[in-house]
Amino acid sequence: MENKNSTNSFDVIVVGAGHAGIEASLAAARMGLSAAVITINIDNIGQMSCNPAIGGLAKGHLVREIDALGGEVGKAIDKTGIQFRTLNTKKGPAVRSSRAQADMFKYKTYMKTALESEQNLTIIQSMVDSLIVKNAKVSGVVLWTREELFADAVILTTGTFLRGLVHIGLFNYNAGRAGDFASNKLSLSLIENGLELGRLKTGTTPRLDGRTIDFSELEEQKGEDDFIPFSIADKRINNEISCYITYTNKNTHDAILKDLDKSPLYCGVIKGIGPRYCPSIEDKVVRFKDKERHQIFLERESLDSVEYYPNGLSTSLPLDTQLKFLRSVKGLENVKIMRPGYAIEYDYVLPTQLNRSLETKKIEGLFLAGQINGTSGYEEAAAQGIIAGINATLKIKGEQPLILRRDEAYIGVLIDDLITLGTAEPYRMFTSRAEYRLLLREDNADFRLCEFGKKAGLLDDERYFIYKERLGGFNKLISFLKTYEKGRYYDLLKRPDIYLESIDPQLNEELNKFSKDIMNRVELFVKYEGYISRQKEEINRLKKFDDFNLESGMDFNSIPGLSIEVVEKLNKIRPKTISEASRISGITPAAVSILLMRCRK
Amino acid sequence: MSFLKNEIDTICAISSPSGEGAISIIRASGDDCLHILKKIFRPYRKDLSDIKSRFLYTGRIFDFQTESFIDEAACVFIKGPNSYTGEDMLEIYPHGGVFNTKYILEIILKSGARLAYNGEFTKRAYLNNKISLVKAEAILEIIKANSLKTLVIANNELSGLLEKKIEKIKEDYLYMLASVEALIDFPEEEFENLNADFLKKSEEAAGLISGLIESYENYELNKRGFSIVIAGAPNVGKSSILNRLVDKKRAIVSDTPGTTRDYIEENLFLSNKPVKIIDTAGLRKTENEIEYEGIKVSYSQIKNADVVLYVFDVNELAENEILKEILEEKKENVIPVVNKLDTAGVKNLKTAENKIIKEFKFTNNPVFISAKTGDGFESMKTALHDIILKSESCVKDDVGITTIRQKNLLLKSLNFLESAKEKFKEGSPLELVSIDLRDGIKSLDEIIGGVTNEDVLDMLFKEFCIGK
Repeated sequence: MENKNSTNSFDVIVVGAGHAGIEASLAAARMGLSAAVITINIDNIGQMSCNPAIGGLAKGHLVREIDALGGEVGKAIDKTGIQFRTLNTKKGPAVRSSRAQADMFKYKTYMKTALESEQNLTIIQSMVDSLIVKNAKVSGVVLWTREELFADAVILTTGTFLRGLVHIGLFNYNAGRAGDFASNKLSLSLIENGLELGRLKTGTTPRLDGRTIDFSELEEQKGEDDFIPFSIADKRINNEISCYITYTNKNTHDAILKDLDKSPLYCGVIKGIGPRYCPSIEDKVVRFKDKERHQIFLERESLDSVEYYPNGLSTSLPLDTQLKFLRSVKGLENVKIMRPGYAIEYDYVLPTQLNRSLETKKIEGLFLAGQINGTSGYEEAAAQGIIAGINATLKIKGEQPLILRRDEAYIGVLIDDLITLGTAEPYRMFTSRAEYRLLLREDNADFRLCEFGKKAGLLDDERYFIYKERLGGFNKLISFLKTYEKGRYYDLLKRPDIYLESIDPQLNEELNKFSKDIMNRVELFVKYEGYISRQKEEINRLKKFDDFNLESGMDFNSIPGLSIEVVEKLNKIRPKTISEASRISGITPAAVSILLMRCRK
Repeated sequence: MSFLKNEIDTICAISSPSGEGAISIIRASGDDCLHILKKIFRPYRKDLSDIKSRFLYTGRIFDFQTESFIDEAACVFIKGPNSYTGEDMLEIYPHGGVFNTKYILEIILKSGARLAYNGEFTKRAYLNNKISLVKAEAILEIIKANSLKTLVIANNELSGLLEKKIEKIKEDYLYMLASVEALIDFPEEEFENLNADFLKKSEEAAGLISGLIESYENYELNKRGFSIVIAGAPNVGKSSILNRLVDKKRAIVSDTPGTTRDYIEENLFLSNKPVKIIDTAGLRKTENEIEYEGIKVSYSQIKNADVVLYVFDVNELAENEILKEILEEKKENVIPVVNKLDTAGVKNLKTAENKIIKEFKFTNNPVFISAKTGDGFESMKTALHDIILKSESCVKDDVGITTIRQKNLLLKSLNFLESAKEKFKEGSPLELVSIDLRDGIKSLDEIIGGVTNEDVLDMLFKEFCIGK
């Protein structure tokens, strides 16, 4: 590729420097391209607009997968986290997930520094008003100051900024998030270029003054010191704080119900669809009348700040109502609000208009990642960011895109769901979305994905060699167990209550050669081998449908036997293979067999 | 993948029963129907260039190779997808001879169609999304139905009642799955009564599945026809009763007890219902090996019977252990029949009736007959008829499965359900419980249609309060 030296021409332009934009621009720059990242506010690179945490159920998986591909989020949270915990330790190993509280100020400083450390990366504070598109191919962007910047690929990671509208009670104003400008023109440019947009809503909690919270009576939740760091590259983490748990009560609920007529959600002022898994407190109180209390986690936002995030209390009620219901909660009797909770509506692009590489089908070179695709969550955004960054780069280099399958990564599930099913509410990852949950564990993210990261040219040698060493250890221990005393201990280990540490003292000398991490992985592997092979069989059975390609110009209208509804869906999503088609909602098994006939005819 | 080719050919078959009749029906389905029709058929009035769908055309069938006139016939062309199979279809109604019908079929085959396999038209209807698999099976069962009861069950299947019932089971499954997924994906939420609800739903689902599995045995029995078994001690005249019922000397009768060693089965119509009457060996203790085998067979016949006629000799009313067992199992479906009325006085009848009701504890009143003279047979038939009517009157809402395929899938589903329940109780990893539940649902899906991850999440957010 040609060397782009001029100040207004790049290989890749990333619009937005949130969690998606960071991974996208780092990927492009680290893979050797000249990249520019444009943000409305440089001080808010890597801002945690909602809760100050990384990870959680299925999200911890995403973080480790991003790390295995060569991303930054894992390293950032390991260094700036202030409390680390593993969720679901009492449930099965496949659904154990890591979660960390971040020091949100340290986190964003870390990310800004990471961007600034890349020589190939230009950081620009500005706003993008429109795309430059010629012959259905993107060639740059126009800034609000009328300057034009040029690139072969543009990655949009606009978060909640497209026509963002903040609601606090019945009062509302234009903003990308509280305190930042909204981007009001770019949506129009997307529509003019043929993309279909929708509108979503999300919300956040008020931030509380920690000096006015009485923690003495509240349940404390400590971090775990034997937590395994998110990044392959990191060896340790520091637990600095605890979180605290309190509950709403009848008085809280009464206060909320009394002022429901001032809620923009219930008055119909908010049109966008909100996430069902993260309902506002008013929504929870209305929908689950019988529930006597709701849990609240009090999470400190930074060691350098007294602000607390009351997790579970997202709300768009008026400020005085917020204060009223907060003060009915134990420990918050005298609380002061530093920033009000609010809801935000924003535009998103219906993700069924994307290819698996995250490039739009209509406009060549235009990639989308993060909330603009209808997702929610820092981790979901970062996961798409790294894939969009890698694939924009690979495209410019003339190489095949990186496509992860559903049985290879949560990232694969995420992208496949988005492009085949679309989403009508902010999409969040859950472990239940992954049919091959037993294969897609946190503990084997490196085994699953490091080779992909290496092949793409993003994963650094440090992480790659650690992974290689672990893989070697794993294989060595497996083959030792399989051969030692005719595999007696291997079989023993299959039982649910038998672990390597206690299996037999005479093995200790051999086992001491292996790290605890490797021993854990081997235990899991052996215990679940039966189930895992059952899942692998199914994958192989379904894989053959990936080979049935549907012609790109196939006229679904002309195929007899397909219902109007099915034809509409097929025309909208335009699946590339039979297996993609089979996952579209509303596509019946009968319709799939008809398509199967056609693609062989 | 040769089956793919099979599914796009044009198929044809003779749809009317074989043998001579007034009219035959030949049917074809597939893209080539119109082409074939134009090749072999010349209508009297119009030509076929602007043929209308679903209009009846009369004309002549020609062999396009020899140009010879084969038959006069009526034809209908039905344009897909609004046809039974969802494809273009063709129906030809020639005269009902054997040779001409077969000849026309041959011509159609020569014009490029292929002979249809059994049930292939219905299969195509399924593949083209016109009917569900369960409905396809129901259609085949309706064709095979041989009693009101089997017909009602098959019709309930066709009208979607069976699917509804399976949907209900799936809903229970979905609730359990959503519970498990809620526990996994929202570990920090508080869920009330979740364990109890899970177990309740699993019991409910298991009950429904078992009910459907049992319904298959019932359906199979019904398919075999309503069966009436004649039982009783030796030499009370069972075989004579059979002979009179079927109005011929079917069974050998003699005064020697134990003459009937094997069972004898006869079919007849009883008030317009097809029934099966089975005469069995007399029940008694015996040293004779052959007779003993016969008695063993009698037992199993009695067990499977819809109605038992338990025959006594009016002069020798004796109870035994075997009778007690029969009464316990069949209850109101045992009719006491007192034979040899011709040899008894009126006083004997009163004593007999008392003995049967009070001492032997029959629920039905005895009927008194004479196999020799035929007296009392009408009242015996009335008693039988009442029982048959009763068994059919409870048929109306009878929803059941009708094929072994459905039964096997339900058994598979039940196994996964039991395994999921066990694991849940034991506290095994929840993702393994989830795998069993999903496999259980998959087996049900093979009977009807699919459940997506989105369905699970819908249920989860509907039923459980979630949200950090």
